[in-house]
Amino acid sequence: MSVAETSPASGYATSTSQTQLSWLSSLQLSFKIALRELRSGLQGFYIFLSCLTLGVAAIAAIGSFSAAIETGLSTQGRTILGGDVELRLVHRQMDAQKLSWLRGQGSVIEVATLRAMVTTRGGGDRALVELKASGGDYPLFGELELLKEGSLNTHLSQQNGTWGAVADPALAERLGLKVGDEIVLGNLNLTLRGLIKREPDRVSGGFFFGPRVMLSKQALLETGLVQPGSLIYWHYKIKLGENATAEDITAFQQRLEAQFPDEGWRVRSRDNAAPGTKRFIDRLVLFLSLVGLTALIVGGLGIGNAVNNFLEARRRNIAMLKCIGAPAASIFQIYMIQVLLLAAIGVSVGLTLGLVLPIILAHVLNDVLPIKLSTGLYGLPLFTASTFGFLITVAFALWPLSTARSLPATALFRSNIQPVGSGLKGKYLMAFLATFSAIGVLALLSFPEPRFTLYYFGGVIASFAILYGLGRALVAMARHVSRPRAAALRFAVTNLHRPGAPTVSVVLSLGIGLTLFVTLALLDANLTRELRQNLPEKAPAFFFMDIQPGELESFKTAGLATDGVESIDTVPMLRGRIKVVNGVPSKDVKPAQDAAWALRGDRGLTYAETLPTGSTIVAGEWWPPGYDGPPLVSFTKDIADGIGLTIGDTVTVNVLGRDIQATVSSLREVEWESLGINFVMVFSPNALRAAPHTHLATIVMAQEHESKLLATLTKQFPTVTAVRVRDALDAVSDLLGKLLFAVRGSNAITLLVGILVLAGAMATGLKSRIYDAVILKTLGATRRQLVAAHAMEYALLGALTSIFAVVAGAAASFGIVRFVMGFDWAFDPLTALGTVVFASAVTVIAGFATTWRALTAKVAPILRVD
Amino acid sequence: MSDSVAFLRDVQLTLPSKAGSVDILRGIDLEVARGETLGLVGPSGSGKTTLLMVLAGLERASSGVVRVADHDLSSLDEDALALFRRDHVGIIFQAFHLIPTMTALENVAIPLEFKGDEAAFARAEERLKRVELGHRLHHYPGQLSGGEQQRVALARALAAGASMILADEPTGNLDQGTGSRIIDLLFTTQRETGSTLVLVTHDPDLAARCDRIAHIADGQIGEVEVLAERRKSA
Repeated sequence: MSVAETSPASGYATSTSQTQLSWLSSLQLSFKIALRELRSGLQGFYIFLSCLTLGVAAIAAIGSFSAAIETGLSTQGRTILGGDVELRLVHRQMDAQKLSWLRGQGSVIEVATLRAMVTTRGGGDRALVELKASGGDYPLFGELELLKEGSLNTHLSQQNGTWGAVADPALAERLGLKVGDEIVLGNLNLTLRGLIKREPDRVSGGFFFGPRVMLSKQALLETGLVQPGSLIYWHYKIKLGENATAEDITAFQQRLEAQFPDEGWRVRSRDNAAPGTKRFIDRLVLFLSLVGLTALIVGGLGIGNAVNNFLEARRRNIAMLKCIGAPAASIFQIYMIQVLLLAAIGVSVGLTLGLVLPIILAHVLNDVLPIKLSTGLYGLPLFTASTFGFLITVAFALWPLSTARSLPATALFRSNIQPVGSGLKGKYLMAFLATFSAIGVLALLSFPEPRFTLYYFGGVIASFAILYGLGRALVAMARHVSRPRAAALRFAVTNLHRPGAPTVSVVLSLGIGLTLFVTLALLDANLTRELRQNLPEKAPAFFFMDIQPGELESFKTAGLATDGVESIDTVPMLRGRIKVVNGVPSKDVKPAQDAAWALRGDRGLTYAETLPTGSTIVAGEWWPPGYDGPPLVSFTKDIADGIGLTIGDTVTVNVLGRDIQATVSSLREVEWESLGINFVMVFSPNALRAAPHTHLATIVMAQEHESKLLATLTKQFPTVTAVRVRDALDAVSDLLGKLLFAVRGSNAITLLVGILVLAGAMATGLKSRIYDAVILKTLGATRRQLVAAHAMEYALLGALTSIFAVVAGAAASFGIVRFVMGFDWAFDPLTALGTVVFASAVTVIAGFATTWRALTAKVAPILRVD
Repeated sequence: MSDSVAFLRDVQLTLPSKAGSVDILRGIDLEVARGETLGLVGPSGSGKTTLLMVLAGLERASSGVVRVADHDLSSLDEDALALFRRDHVGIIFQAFHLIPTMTALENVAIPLEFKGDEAAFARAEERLKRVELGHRLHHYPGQLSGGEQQRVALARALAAGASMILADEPTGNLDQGTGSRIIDLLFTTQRETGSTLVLVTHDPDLAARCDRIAHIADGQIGEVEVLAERRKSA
C-alpha cells in the first residue's frame, strides 16, 4: 500500500499524482483569483489593448491581403499569362518550322507588343502607346472586357477599307478622342472602335509607359512599324490542353529544351506568370509586414509599461496575497492569467479588423487592380498575427511579472517605501529569450525574403541592447556626477538614478519610439525626393527609338534644324540576352541581388568605336580604332562585379537568335544620372555591326520647343517612337506615388502605436511621482520648481534618446531604401533633426500633461490615506 | 494678540461628498502663542488632523480667518502656501511620509534645497546627527526602522528653521519605547529652538506634556486646559 493511499486526509501532497492535482488546483485557484481581480475593469489597460489591437490588425490585414493577391495570381495564372506557357522573342517572329512544332503541342496564339506613337488625324496631338497586335484567336484564357458592347474581333477587323483599334480610356482622354474617331499609327489610319475595360493578361505585360492600344496583326504589318531591328516582342502563348497539369507543363518545357536548346527565347509558365509583379508585391508585403511587426514590438513596450503600472497599483494586493500564504508561483500565475485574458481581447479585436479590412479594400480597389483578388478567410495569416500578438505580450510582460513575483510580503507593511529589485533572472530570462526567439522564427517562416527579416531582427536586437545600455549608463552617470548647484537640476539628476526610477524603460520606449519616427520620416523624405527628383540640367528631352539606319542622317538633319535643339546623340541599339557566363548557363549563375536583373530577359546592347560619353574606364582597356579581332565587350563595373565577371572572362549573348561570344576587355563606371545614352554592355563594332538593328537618339533641347519637335519628327518619321523623358518619369513617379501611399498608410498605424507607447512611458511611475510631488509641496516646493525639475529630467532623457534615434533611424531607413526598395538613399538632416525635436517636444508636453496631475494633485487626501 | 504665532477665528471647513456636504470644522477659534506647546485631543473624526492641515495651509478653510506666522493663509495661492510652509512650518506625520527613493540625507536636505541653501547637505547632515542618525545618512527609508524614519521626519521638519512644528500622531506607528524617545527628542528640540509645537494625539499622557490641551469634538473646540500654569502652581 502506498503512502498516498494511507494518508489521503492529511492535506499534504504525498505522491506524484497528488502533487499534480495540487498544481492543477493551484492553477484553478489562480484563475479564480485572476477573474476576481479583473472585476476592477479595463482601466489602465487602454494603451495595452490599443497597442496590441493595432499591431495584430496590421499583421493580419497585410497577411490576408497578400494571401488574396497571391491566391489571385496563382489561381488566375493561366489568364494572367494568357496561356499555360509563353515563349517570347525580341525583334523577330518565330519561323514556320518551330511554330509548326509548337502547334503540335497544343493551341498556340501569336501576339506582338511594342511601343509606338499614336497621332490624331491631321497630326494634331500625339502620345506614346503600348501596342498589342493579336489575331482572331486572342485571348486563349479569360476575356478582354470592353466598356461597351461588341466583340474584339469585330472591332479590330477591316471595315470599309479601314482597320479598327481599341484603346485604354486614358488614351481617349489624353488625346480628346471618342469612339469612331480616326487615329494614325505609323503609316496607317485606323478607327478607334472601342475602349478597354479589363485586359486579362495585362499584369504579365510588365511596366507600361503609355496607355494600351490593340489592333490586329495584319494591321500592324501595314503600319510600317515592323522593320528589321525594330524593338518588337513576339509572344507565343500556348494552351497545352483543357486540364493541363503542372507535370504536363514541366514535360512540355523539357521537350522544348531538348528540341530547341539555343533559341534565346524567354520561357514563362502559368505558375510564374508575373514574376516582376510577384517580386514587387513580395517586397511591399515584406516592408508592410515588418512595419506591422514593428508596430507590435514597439507596442510591446507599451504593453510592458502598462503591465508594470498595473502591477505597481497592485503592490498591496500582491503583498497581501503573499502574507496570507500565496506562493510566488501563484502570484506569477494570477497576474499572467490576467494579462493573457486581456491579450485575448486585444488579439480578437485585432483579428476581426485584420479580417475585415482586406475585404473592404478589395471591394474598393476592384476596378483599380489588374487582377481579381481572392478575398476570404485565410487561416494562416490570422494564426500568425494572433501568435505574434500573444508572444509579444508574454515577452514584454515577463519582466514586470517576474518582478511582481519577487515582491516581498513585507511590502504590505512598508507601504511603497521599499523598492523591489527588478530584472529578468533565471528561468524567467530563459523564458523571455525563448519567446523572443519564437517571434524571430515565426517571422522568418511567415514573411517573404528571410534575409531582410534577419537584418531587421539584428537591427531590433541591437537597438534594444544599445538603448538598454544607454539607459543603464545614464543611471550610472547620474549617480556619480557631482551634485549640481541648482536645486531643480539636482532634483532632475537624482530622479534619473533613484531606486525604482523608470529611466531605463523610458529610455527604451522613448528611444525606440523616436527611432521609429526618424526612420519613417527619412523613408518618406527619400521616397518624396525620388518622386520629385528634378531632371539634370542637360538631361535629354526625348528618346527616339526604332530609327532605321537609312533614316538616321535625315533624322539628325531634321532634328538639328528644329528651333531649340542643342544636340542630338545617336547610338545603334539591339536587344539580346546573356545566355552563358564563363561557360555557365546564366540560369545557373548566382548573381548579387543588385545585378540579377541583368541576367533576366532581354537587355539593350550597343556597339561603339569610342568610349561613350559619361563613361570612365576603371579596368582593362578600350579597343583600338578599327579593331577587327575576336568580339570584345565592355561591362559596367557594378554589374560585372554582381555576376562575377573580370577582365578576360567570356559571355555569350543571344542576339536575334544568334549566339555571340565576347571577351570582357574593359569595365566602366557610368554616370546614369545624366540620362545620356549608356548601356551595361557595349560591344566592339565588328561583333554586331552586321546584325539588323535600329538606332536610338537622345535630343537635348529647350523645353518650350519640345511639342514642335515632336510634331515635326513624328510626322516626318511616322515609324519612329518618341519617349518624352518628362512623361516617362511621370509614369515612374505615379508608381512611386502609390508606393508612398502604402508606406504612409502603414506608417500612420505605427506612429499611432508609437504615440501610445510614449504616452504610456510617461505614465510610468505616475503614482510615485504624485506622491513625491505631494511631499515636496508639503515641504515648500513651488510648482515652478517642480516643473523645472521635471522639464530638465525629460530634456536629459530626450537629448540622449534623440541622438540615438537620429543615428539608428538613419541606418534603418538606409537599409530599407537601399536594399528593400532599391533606391538611392540620402540623409536629410533637416527632416531627421526636425523629427526628433518635434517628437521630443511632443513627448515633453505629453510628459507634462501626465505629470500635471502630479503637480496639481490635492495634498490632504494623500497625506491622510497613506 | 501680537505674541501669537497662529490666530484662527470662526474657521469653518465643509467638504463635499456623495451623500451631501460634510462640515468638518464648525467655527474654530484658536490662538497659539510663540514658543507654546499645544496638544489637540479628541475622538477619531473630530477634526484634529483637519485643523492641523488648515494650520499648515494644506487644507483651505471654507470661511473664517486663518493667520499663521503673520500670513493670512486664505489670501495665498498654492505656491505662496508652499513657500510659507518652507519658511515657517515643519510637519511630522504618523506615516512619516518620507520620499522612498531618496536617502535620509536627501530627504532632510529637500526643504533647504528648495530654499536655495548652498549648504543644504551640510546642514541636513548636522540635523541628522542631532537626532542620532549620523550613521544612517545614505540609507533609504526602506532600510530604516520606524523610529529611525520618524527621526528623519523630525530632522526634516526642523531643517529649514521652521518656527512652528505641526505633529500628527507622531508616535502612532511606533512602539511605546521608541515613541517616548521620539517625543523626548521632539520636546527637547522644541525647547532648544524656541519653536511652537502643535501636537495631535490620542495619548493623554503625551498631551499632558504640552502647555495647553484643546479638546476637539465634532469640529468644534470645547474645553481648553492650561497645564503650564497648573504645572507652575504645582
